[in-house]
Amino acid sequence: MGLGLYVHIPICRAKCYYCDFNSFPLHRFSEADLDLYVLAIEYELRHYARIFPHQHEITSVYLGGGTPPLLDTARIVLIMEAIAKYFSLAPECEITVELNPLDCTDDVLRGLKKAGVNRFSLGVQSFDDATLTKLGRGHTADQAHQAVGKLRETTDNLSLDLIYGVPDDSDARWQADLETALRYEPEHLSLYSLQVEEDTPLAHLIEQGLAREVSADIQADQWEYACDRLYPTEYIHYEISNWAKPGKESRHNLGYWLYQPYLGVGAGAAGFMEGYRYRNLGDPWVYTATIRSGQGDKQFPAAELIEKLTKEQLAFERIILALRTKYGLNMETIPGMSAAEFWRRYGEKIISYQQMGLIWRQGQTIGLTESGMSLSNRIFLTFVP
Amino acid sequence: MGYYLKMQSKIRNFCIIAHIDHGKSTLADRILEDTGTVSQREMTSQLLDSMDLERERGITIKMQAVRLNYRAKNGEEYILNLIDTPGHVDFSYEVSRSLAACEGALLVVDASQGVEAQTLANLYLALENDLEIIPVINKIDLPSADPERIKRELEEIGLDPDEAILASAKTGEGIEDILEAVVERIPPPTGSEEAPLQALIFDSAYDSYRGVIAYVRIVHGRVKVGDQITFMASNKSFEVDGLGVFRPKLVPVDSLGAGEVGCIIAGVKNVKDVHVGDTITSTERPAAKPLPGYRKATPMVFSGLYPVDNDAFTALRDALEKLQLNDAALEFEPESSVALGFGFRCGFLGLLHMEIIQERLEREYGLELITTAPSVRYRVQKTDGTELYVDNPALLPKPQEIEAIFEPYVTGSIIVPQDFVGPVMELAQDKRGIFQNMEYLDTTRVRLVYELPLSEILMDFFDKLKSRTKGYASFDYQFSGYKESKLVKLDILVNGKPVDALSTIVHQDKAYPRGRELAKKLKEIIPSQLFEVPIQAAIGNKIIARETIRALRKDVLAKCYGGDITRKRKLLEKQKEGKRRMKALGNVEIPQEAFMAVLQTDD
Repeated sequence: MGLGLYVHIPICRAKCYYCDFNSFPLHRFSEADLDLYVLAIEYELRHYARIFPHQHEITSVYLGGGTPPLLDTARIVLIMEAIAKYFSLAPECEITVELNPLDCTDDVLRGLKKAGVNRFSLGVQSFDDATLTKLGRGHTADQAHQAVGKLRETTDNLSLDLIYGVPDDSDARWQADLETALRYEPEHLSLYSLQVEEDTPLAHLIEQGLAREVSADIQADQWEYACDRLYPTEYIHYEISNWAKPGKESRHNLGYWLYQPYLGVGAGAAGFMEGYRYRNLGDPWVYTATIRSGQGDKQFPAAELIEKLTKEQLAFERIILALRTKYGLNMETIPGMSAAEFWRRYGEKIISYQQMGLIWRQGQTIGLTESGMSLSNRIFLTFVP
Repeated sequence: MGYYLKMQSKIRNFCIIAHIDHGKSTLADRILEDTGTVSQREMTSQLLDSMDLERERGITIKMQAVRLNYRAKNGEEYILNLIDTPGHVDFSYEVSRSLAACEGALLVVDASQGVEAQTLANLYLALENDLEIIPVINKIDLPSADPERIKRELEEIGLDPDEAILASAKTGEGIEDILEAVVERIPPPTGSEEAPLQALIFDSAYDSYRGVIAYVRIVHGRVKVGDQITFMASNKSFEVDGLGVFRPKLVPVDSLGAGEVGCIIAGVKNVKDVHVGDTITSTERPAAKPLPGYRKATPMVFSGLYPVDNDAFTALRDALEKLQLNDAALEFEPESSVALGFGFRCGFLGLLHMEIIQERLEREYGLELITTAPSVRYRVQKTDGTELYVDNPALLPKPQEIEAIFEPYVTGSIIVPQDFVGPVMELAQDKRGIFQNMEYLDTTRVRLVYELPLSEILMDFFDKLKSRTKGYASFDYQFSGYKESKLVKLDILVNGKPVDALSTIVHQDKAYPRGRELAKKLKEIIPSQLFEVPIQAAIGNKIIARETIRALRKDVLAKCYGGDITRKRKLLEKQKEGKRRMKALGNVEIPQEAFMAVLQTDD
């Protein structure tokens, strides 16, 4: 079984209006902070290599953020060298980096390639200036085009993120953006519906009446449009929000859904090892200090949360993660629960979902139809222990 | 003059009656403070309201009696017993019993707001009990105070305006005048020490160590610790193991004699043996008959209480039993509903009583409840000549088996500024009210009297009255009797299946609009499901309204960042918790508030 590795770089130029994840503006970091952060990541890697000696071969690395290139490509090279030093990278190991269009200069792309990056995930979000402004993205449509153009010359494994359901959104805007993206023939597409998270600038704008959330109907229309548009193409809808050309699925993200172990290093990173889930401290300075002090947990030295999953939780996660994918859930592979037990508990519900056209079944495997995917959250609630 | 008679001449038993918010509790506090019964430091404001819930709602549920010592201007020491009374129409029987324990009453009227419906209701109760009335115009410190106008209003309701005392419980002005008036104007009790014991129970409380505590006014005779006593209504006998007075904490005494107010503890374990209004007498030398005025408190409002979690049925029963220890007016019996499972049909004195019980169950016993809309108790004459009472709409017999239905009516008294007479009459008519009387209290304020079906008051009468009169109207009512009405059962079908807990009994002429309204309301309350859900209103087999809840189209969790599955799992667990608070009817999940929707109507 493969081992994934997620590295979190919690640095951004500025927070986008809708963003609630763990990142901090670049100007708050001194050069020394960044060096120490990289060092802390190296310590953390060395630690895991020692305590999990049998988990040595890494099949995917994902440099996520934030905006990893802001760390400086030289430091990314250092991180990759550390990974190679303490672990071994499998042949054909997928190494993904997340980027912002403003990062896509020749220098940066060259540096990333030198570091070993072989998959580029660009958070382009939209090619429409008005939409980019609403999202507080900090780049223009022109810059987005330039970035995708550059990347297209650099890599044969490009993923584009697009967002729909933005405030006051229209179907025309979404359809145009999707067409624009498709013209670049990215190998992979992630299409996300905008979620208004608590305490984000966007949430405040909406509270004050300065932005208007789109209706659930518009979001549903946009999702259905994307599904219909991509269905006859070579893109495969392999996960709720993800489409890929054959063989170009994100191996790293599939690891999450297929219940493979992964390490997470860096501030706020999450990992899943030997039945434990952990999440590191989110504040990069606190994270760095904790790692350096050696005062953290013996197994997960920078964790703010460690949980040993119960039998019930293991089964539940397995069920809902597998159902996110087009491969579905083989009912015989649920940890701690036999297919018979699963069917005894949920068979009746599943049959009714089948009748509603939300779930398909083939032998011992069940999966969500596209309609089911769009209602996945409701369906997952069925399986909460 | 014997010692006891001399002592009796120094006793004054009185209470304070007022419309809600006219400052009754503050005045009581101030009197306690001024007589040195409690020090300023001990005052948590509004001491007489001892339950948290009462303090929060600013109303008094449980009355208590406090003994005050007062040295009057004539140099004599007096014992003043201040008996607190509940301030809400639901508890009017309890009010009447505590009034019966007094010789006089302070009638408190707000210096800006004037006479209100409850002022009148309370005044009439006090007059029925032959009490000496001392009018007190309170809150004269407020800029909006207009004592002269209030005096005219007092005259209008038959009181002598010159006898009114101007006071402010806030500044302390007039408090001494009030105490002097209590001594001067209220007659001392006149009971005989030598006669057989007659003690009027005006309240009771339950203490888990000592059992039932009966609050009493000794009317005749004397009771001592160790005496055998009999409760005349329940005809049960006990030995007195403790007597006490409240100052304001319980202070034990050896005996209580005619004219005194205190409490009796006699190892009574069941509050059902101690009825408010009952008479306690001596077992050895019983009184020939009980004191007049006793009646059993009868519930007027009924509602089904169901635990959200079916496993909590036993816990709910235990909690209801415990509450009943302290509240003899609460009735309950098990019932079951197809929609809601097993629960209890509970009887309450009124809506406020119902709300208080529900809140205590949730707050003190940690129960999560689904409450069905309150109903009155209908009298149904069947075609086969039998008669039955129905307090659960789902149990109404089939139309072809019904000869006639009778519903409880109340006499409602509404006081409003004359500008609002029109809207109020419109509302009363809309609520099937029958006009009785209209009179001017002064040049600007009018008292309207209507006969109204109690069921209409349960709906939203009071809210509507307030909103149509900009909050100026005051309202009071009392049960007047049963009247025949053309009533039908309105059923609600969710996804094609009737939901018994949503059935209501409505007047035939209102069934169609109610059905439409209710279907619409439920459409708003019930969240979208994975499939389309029709909501229908029906009378018998006839569908009279239909709304459709559209199927949910999209519900997807946000992107999962860097494999933080924990966050996702917790989100789902939390959402599932929210769903557990809903009741599943077949495949449809219905939130708790849907069962109360029946109560709201559009304007």
